[in-house]
Amino acid sequence: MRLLRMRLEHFAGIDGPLDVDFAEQGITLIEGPNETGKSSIVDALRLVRDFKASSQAAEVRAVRPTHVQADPSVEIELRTGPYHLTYAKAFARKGTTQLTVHAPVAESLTGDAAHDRATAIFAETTDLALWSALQATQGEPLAQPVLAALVPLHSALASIGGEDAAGGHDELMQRVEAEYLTYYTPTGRPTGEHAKLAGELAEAEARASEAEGALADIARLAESHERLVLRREELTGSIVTQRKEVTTLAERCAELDQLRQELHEAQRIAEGAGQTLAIRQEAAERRAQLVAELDEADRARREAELEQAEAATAVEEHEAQAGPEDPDTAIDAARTELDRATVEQERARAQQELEQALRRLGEARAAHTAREEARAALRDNAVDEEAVQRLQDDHLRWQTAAARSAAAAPTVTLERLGDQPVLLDGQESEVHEHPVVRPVVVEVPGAARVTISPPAPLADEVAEGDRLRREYHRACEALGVADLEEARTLARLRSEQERILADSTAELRRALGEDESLAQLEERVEHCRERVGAGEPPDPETAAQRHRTAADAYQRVVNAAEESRAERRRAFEIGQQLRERLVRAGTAAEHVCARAERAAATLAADRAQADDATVTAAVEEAREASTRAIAAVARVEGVLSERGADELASEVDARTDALETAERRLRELDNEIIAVEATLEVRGGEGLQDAANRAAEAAADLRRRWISVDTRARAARRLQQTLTDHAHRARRRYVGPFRTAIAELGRTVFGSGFDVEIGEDLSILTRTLDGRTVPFVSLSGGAKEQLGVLGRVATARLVGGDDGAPVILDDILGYADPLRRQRVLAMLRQVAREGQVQIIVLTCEPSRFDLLVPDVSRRLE
Amino acid sequence: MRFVATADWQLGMPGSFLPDEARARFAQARIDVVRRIGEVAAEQQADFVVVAGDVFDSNQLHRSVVARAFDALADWSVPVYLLPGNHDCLDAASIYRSAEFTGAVPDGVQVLDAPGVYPVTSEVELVAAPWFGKRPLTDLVADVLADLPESSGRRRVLVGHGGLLGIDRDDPAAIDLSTLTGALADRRIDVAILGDRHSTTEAADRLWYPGAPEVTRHRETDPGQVLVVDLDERTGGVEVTPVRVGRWTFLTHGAPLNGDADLDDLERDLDRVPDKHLTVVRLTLTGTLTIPQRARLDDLLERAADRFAHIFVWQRRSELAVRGEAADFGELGLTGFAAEAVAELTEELSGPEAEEAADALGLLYRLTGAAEMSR
Repeated sequence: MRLLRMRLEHFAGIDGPLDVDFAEQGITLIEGPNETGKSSIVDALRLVRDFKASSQAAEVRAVRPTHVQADPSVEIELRTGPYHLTYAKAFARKGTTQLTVHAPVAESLTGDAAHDRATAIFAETTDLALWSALQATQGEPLAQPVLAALVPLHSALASIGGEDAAGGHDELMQRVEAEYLTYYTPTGRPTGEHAKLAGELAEAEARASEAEGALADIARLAESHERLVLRREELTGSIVTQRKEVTTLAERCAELDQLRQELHEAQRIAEGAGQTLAIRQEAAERRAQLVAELDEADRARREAELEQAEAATAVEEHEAQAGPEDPDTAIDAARTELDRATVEQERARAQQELEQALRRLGEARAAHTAREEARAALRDNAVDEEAVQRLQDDHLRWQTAAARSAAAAPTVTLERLGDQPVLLDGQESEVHEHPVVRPVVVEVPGAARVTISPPAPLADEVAEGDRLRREYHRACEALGVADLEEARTLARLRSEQERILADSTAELRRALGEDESLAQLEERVEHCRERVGAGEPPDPETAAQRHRTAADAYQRVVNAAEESRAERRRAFEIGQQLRERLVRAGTAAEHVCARAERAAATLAADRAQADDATVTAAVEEAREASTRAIAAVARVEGVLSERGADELASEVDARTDALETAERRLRELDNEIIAVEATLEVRGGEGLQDAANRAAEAAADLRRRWISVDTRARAARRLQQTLTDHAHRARRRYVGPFRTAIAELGRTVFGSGFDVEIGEDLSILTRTLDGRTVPFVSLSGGAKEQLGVLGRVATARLVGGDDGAPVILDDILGYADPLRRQRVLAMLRQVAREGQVQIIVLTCEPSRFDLLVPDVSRRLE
Repeated sequence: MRFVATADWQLGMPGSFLPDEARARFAQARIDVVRRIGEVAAEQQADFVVVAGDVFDSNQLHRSVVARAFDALADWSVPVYLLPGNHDCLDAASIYRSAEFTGAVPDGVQVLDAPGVYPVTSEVELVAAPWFGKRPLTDLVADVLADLPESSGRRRVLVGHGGLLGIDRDDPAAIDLSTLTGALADRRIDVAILGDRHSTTEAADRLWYPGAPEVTRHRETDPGQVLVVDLDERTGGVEVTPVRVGRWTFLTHGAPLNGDADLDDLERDLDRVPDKHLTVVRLTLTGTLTIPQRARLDDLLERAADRFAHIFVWQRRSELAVRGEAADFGELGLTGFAAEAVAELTEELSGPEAEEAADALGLLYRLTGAAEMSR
């Protein structure tokens, strides 16, 4: 399809008629500021194609001018396939449509007929999806066109790839998909009637099976009834037979009753004889017991009498023995001696303590005196080492100043030449040399008086020396000494006194010991004296010895007394036991004598009734009678046993039991049969067979329907899968040629190191530039836009010719750098020159497209 | 003396093999045929009618079936004797013992509910061998013959039910043919009427299966009749005339299908079948069809289903292949991947999933609209 011309009036922001001519081959550049109607050109193309003139769709209403009362109108002229036509619409409630076909056969139509004819021509000659895909519209510049579904692109790629067939079969695929989705969800699960029938069929089959089950129950019940009735018949017959047998056996049993009677009598006699034998044996045993008892009583009496005699002897012997003496007197004597020794020992200890305290008192008092004297001396002498040090410093400073002034002073050397005394400062002097530190008067009395004055500068130093001397003397005075030497002596004395004070204080503390003061020590001395008391104090050693001896003696006496007491207690206890034994022996002897007398009396009374021989004979007689009776019983039992009486009796019992069991079973059977018949009567009328038939019929209906639907469903699935599978494979085959087409154009834009990877949907997955591969989504906005343009131009170029559609680029390359833009434009020029693609560029910034060199250029105002 | 012999009415039998719509008609047909038997008996001036077992299809039927049967029997002018068979045996759950039966049984209807002799007219008596359970352990006919009392001078009609020994040797209840023919030969009985076999059959001289009066299965060879039996009380001569009473037909139609001409034949054959709404057709189809032909067959059968009581392909006996040809889809303009898909499916026509592939191709054919075009 090639767009030749367009005319817009009252369309969106455009008022007056706007005519635009397009280059049929090559590039048309339409430039103009914003809101001059560039985008309206794109919109108008779509509206005139897709909407009827009378359409009230929102998109159509949106292009009505808002400032004037007028209908928007569009007129386009184009070539498509063999057709050359002009198509115009004025959009209004009663809009107008005009189609003029110029070639191949002139046609002129209006209204809906015009719209339908135009639509038919477009459908016949162009691909609307391709038409849309080739527009890179403002606002969505980064999107990639959806190319995979474009039939013309498929055809083109198929022809390049050597495919002899073409076509996307979109409609067929949609119909197949729709058919598939009638039966399955997109994820392949049965749905709709397919799923519903499967569920209903399962339920119906379950119901049918249940109904069959109920029927089978009835059949089983009927069979069971049949069996029960048969069993009852058998049992009834069996009971009659059993009754006859029991009667016969009972008769045979009666014949043996006489013998049983005899046995009973013999058993009674044997029982009586047994009892008599037992009584007589008991009497004989009692006689023997009485004799034994008497013997035993006699023996016990002899033993008791012997014991009694022995006990009496033991008591006498014990009482004859003497007990130990009373120990109390010895204890008292030893105690008195111990107390005395303790007192003496205490006095001796007090004496020792007194002596010690007196010694310490003497020492303490001496130390106290020495301390007080030292303290007095220290109070009188305040010259300590520190004071001496200070005085020594003062003395040194004075001496130093004096020496200095002496060194600086002139020296008078005096030499007496005769006998005439020479006075120096009024005194005869032998000194030959004398420093002049102050005016010196040398006088030879009567002869001459020479006054020598020191030089003036020396006067200050001399004054300083004098001041320091005076200071020294004042210090001596303050200390109460004449000079430094005396001060040193006093200081030594003071140091000595301090040592004595310290020593005496220590001595006093040692002498006081545990006492805190002298007075306390004196109190101790007094206390000790009181403890010693009057009289000569004892010798400590002797007192200690005496105390130890007394204590040992006392302990010995106490121990001996304890032993003696225990001995007497034991002797008393033995005596007590012996006396008790004697009493017991006496009582026992009396008791045993009485018992022996009783035994003798009882035996005598018994023998008076029957003597021993009579008793023995009676026992023998009874034993013989019993033996005879037992033999009689055995004889009758033998006869009964020979005639099988026991077996017969137990058989009668067993048969009677069996008969009762059978009769009980017969009653049970009757009840069971009644119960089954009742159940069958109730259930028989329920029409279970009908219910089962209906259920089976319902299941069969559903099964037929389900098989039909399932067959169709599986056919749809098979067809859908096979077609989809092949469509995928075909698309994969198109990827190669498409990649080549893009790479070819892309090298102009991106350079020789450019390549792309294409997905099955013909979208660009990655871009490779100089060895570096980047996924499309990670590319910059500029690169994405450039690849988008590349995809469209490559598609248009591949489709080309009459099958193609114009590439419309609305306000693109806003993201591109100047170099890249230049290259994109070069690529567009190159494609335009080939004459296969119609390119329409819309821009508000013409400078961007300076290098485009359009075939037609139109400026909008 | 004349009577009508019939058996195997199978009242209340299920119709799950039929589509829902035909089922009610099929059930009603069994009641209607009872009326017609009554009419035949009246027309033929029969003395009585005897039903040799399986009057009811089951003992566990809804009692409304009994009521409808009695409604039909109430119009009869001749007495009828009903023999319990294996389907409606006289067990504890027997329909004959139900209150609905005993309380409403019309005059003239008698159940032969014990083995033995039943005088019917002054000249004829019935010898009945009814069933008491689903699995008798002996030959009931032989049993009743063994205990047969001395002749009373009346002609005897044996009424029994079951297969003949020789068909099923393991069944202890099977009727021993030689015992029966022996009794017929020495005139202990004069004619024997047996139920169980649904096709009218003369098993031996004077030994007849009347068959079901209304067809029940495809395998029945000659159903839908009753027997009018003339018994000469003087000579004992027997003359049997089958009379058609059934309306339904179960048809098996074999059709070799190898092209459009065969499809034309099939269409014509089906078209010629009378009373289609009372006909069940079982088709055995063999041969090879192309995809369009197969689509045509499907369409043909779909249309036939609307007209027949039921029509279906007997898969077990059918062997119909579908042949895929590029030409079939050539006109449809399928190219590229679609053409490849067709090729793949066509190839699968000779594989294990041929049926599904054929269906898929048929669907493709339909979806591309070619099916309509070619019609």
